[in-house]
Amino acid sequence: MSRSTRRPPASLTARCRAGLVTLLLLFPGIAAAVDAERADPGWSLDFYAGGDIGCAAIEAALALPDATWRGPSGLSTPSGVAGRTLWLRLSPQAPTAPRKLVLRWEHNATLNDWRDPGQRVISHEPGHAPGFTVVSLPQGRSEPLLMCLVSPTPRAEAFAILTAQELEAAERVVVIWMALLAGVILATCAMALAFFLRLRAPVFAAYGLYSLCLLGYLLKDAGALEQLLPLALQKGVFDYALGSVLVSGAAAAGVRFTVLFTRCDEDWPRMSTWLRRLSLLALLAVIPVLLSLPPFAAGFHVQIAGVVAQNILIAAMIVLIVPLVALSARRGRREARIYLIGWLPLLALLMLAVLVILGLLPANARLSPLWGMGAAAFASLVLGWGLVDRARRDRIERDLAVERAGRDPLTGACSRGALRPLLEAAGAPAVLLYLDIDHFKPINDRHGHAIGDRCLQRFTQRCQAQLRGVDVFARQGGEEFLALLPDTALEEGLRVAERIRVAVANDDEPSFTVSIGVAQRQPGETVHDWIARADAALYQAKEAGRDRVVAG
Amino acid sequence: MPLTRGVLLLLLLVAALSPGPLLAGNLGWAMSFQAAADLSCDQFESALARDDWNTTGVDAAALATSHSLWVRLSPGADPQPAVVVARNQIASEWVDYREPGLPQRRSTRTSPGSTAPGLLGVELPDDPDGPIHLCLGDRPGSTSAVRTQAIELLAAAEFRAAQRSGFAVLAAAMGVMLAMAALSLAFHAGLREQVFADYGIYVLCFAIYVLHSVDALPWLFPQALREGPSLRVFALLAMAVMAVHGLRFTLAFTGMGEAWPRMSLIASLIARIALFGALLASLGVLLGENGLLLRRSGIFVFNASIGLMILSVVAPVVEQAWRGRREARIYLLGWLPPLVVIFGFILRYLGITPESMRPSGSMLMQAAAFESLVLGWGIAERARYYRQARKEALHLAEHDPLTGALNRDAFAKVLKHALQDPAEASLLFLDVDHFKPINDRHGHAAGDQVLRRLVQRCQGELRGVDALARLGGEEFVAVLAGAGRDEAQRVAERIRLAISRDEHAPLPVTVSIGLAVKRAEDSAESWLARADQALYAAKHAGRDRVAAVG
Repeated sequence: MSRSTRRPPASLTARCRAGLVTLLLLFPGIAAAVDAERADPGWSLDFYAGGDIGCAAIEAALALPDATWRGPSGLSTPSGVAGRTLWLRLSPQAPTAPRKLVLRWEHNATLNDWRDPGQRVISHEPGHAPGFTVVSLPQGRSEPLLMCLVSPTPRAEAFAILTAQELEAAERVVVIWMALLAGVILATCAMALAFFLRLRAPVFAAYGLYSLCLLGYLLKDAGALEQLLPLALQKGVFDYALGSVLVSGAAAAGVRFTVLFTRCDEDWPRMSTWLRRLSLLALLAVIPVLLSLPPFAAGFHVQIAGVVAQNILIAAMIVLIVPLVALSARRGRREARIYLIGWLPLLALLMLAVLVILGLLPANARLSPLWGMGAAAFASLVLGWGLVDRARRDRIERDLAVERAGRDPLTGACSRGALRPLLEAAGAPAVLLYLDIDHFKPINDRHGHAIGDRCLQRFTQRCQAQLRGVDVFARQGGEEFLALLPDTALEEGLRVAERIRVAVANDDEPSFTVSIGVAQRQPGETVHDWIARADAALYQAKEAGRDRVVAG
Repeated sequence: MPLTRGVLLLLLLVAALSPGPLLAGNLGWAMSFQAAADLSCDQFESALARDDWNTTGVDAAALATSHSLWVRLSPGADPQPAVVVARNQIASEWVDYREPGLPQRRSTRTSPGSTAPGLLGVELPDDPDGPIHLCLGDRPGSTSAVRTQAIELLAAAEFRAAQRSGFAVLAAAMGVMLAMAALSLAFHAGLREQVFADYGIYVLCFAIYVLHSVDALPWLFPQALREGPSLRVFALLAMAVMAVHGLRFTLAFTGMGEAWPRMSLIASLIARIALFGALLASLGVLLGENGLLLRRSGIFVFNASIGLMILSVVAPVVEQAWRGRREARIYLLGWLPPLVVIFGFILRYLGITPESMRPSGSMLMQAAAFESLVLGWGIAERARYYRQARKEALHLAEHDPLTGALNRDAFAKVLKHALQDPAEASLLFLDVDHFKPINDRHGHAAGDQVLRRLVQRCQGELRGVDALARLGGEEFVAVLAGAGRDEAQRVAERIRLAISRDEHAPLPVTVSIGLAVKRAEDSAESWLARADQALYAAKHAGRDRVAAVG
């Protein structure tokens, strides 16, 4: 199986290009397939991003002049860790068909429904897909509805009015994509754990931990983790703390993985140490968040401080990682290049999310968590390629080392080139055995090359077991081998040859025989003539019916 | 054992992914059944006229011949919005008779993508004006049979949740399989090992087969191709390719190919027969009505040979696993579940097991995803093999095979290094005294043993930073890093004594040692030459001693 067919590897850039083209070809097709026709919404939406009016100030909101209400297109809304307010006015246009108000990817937000002014009602339909908050709109109403959203990232684009069928289709698309991407990440994670258990390299353990935490966080960010957890843990502070712990775990393990995988600590030891310190700090930033859990119940501001600190640390880590790895890649580290290709999209998305959370970018810049999952799945697949690259380099290094040692890479026998000087140097009492496996071609043809290769390896082992330490066993090519027995008389050489023949014939699996020609070196004979005489003896052995030893 | 731990982890993950049980009740509706007289669900009037409606279900034997089932849903006092669902009846369709004369059909083919795998539902109104009649019938030519146990009522929200989790499990399984296929093909591209290409192709075809078995394949096709024969031909060919490549992978991966050559030959032959059966069946499908016999016999040949192939593979693989071959164990762990499920399908097809024992499509799906995850182990195993081989080869390239000391090439490097280093260093040149007579008198084996023992003793006296190399024959050199003349002299003396006073030596031998301290102007040749001179002096002075120069 381990045939050493070494080809010049295709260049990295060529492969990237091929991969990109494939992705570009695939995605429009998929996107077109999920894009469905939209029905008339029947309601019109207006927004007012009023940070100063809290959700309780319904009277003030009702008194707002019409000119302050804006349509959803082009409306930029601010973001902030502590939460911002967005007012929403729903005016019925053709209130005949049942419609649903859908809020996407805001499962941590509070949506207040002001159907009857002065009385706050929150009515989300249960049992919808992750990332869908659904409110049934009343039929036959002529007055506008007022609603208020409090969220760190309130966006007008997050709202939509859909029919039940449209909602079902949209939910289906989200569920299918989310599960597909989670499956990809999970598969690579399982693979990394297997690599860790077999190769005992900590880089794989770091990767496994990182991808598990990241997957957990991404699912949580999308509101899907709740549906997998038991009911008791789903809501409240624990939910918040879990997200924080997952982010910290992913950041710490991710930095460890980055340093181990790209080996940038060898090029830039000091910066790598800083990176590691930052990741430890990010781990410590969980403490304020944990302090807000029931037994301590620290205030809201402590929790917010923890989240802000964590996000700033993650931003700092990303700012440090990218140039570090880019410099390593410029120095020609293959892993650093692979990392850059795989992780840049994910790092960019993470940076964007951090900037939005910290209030440095408007809330509209927030992307759907599916993008994050897509980037993570892409990174997983690129990691797979990194694993391949590693295994391939291990094999190339093995073949080079074997060749350097004067060995035949397949069987481990002495190579032809390395045997030559030993033959020249062999003194007068020396014997040469010329060995050839009988009927080898049919074995190769019938069972495939992998089996043929195993036969050769097995044969080499059998022969070497019968030879002394000073004897040299070499592969001449194909299924032909030479054995040089220095300081040996012809009778002794014949005895050794017979021992080899019997050992091979008695070996049941795989079953084959060997013919051997034996020649003792004559004084003054050239190496060429010596080999030719052994070859002639081998020819006689084959003629005489194979599976025998003949002296030349 | 790490393998067991890994397996447990995987099982937990799979368990977390599989959908939980659904709550079912009557939701204000009463169900009763009747076996239909024909396959097409057309005789609505005669079904209504009969009065043998059965509330518990219909005998499986009666359904095996009719292939269709009438279901009457009578609203009670307070009927709730509900969905009547047929589970794992992928070859069936619902025919809705709410408007007599205009039956509406609902199958996975007429509305692909809107119904989750194995979950075929019809919504019931919340304000019915009387009993509702539906017929669940098999599509013509299908080999499965409808069952009353497959029908249940779900609340609308439950149905939505069940659909979503059905989609999620299918998509996650596909994600796992596609990731593993991509990884495997990448391993093939990088390492040029056929076994990975076989696996990649096999998993891709398996994914198509899984989609087919839960009737989700039409989603991937444009509308025009869904009803035509091309979809069936595509699925059949994918299954045949899966069988051929799956077998090739099995033979190479588990070691069955070399350990059981005859059995492997037989299995390959059976795989070819299966391929032939699939081609026959495809031809039959393309011929339409005229090719019915061809199609049936082709499918029979295909199924029977796949069953035989599975049987022929299991015993040798178990034997290999028993003998301790790691890959065979991994294979058994990962591949037994899907093999058992496929075997279950085939037994049902051949009529050996009853319909109730037919595995469901989602079982196949989960087994397939699990199998792909387990392959991660196989790939890791391969990577470990290369890592190990590289380590061994690097050792081989730098060490003398007989004694384990460094070889000439590696020694040249060490020497160069020592010359570049500004710190002090000394070179010892060792030669075994009177070695040729030992070889002649006691044989080569004894000579080899003496050399091995000598290296052991020397290394016992040297530090980790020192290097001992065999230059050839019975000549050795040692580079002592950081050692000046006095220290080197002491080390050399220790080595000499360690060898001459060795109580466990195979034969009593002595060594002569020449010592040369590094000079600033030295090259490798001049340094070695001076050590050689010192050795000559030691030999000349009567052997078994240390002589130094410089």
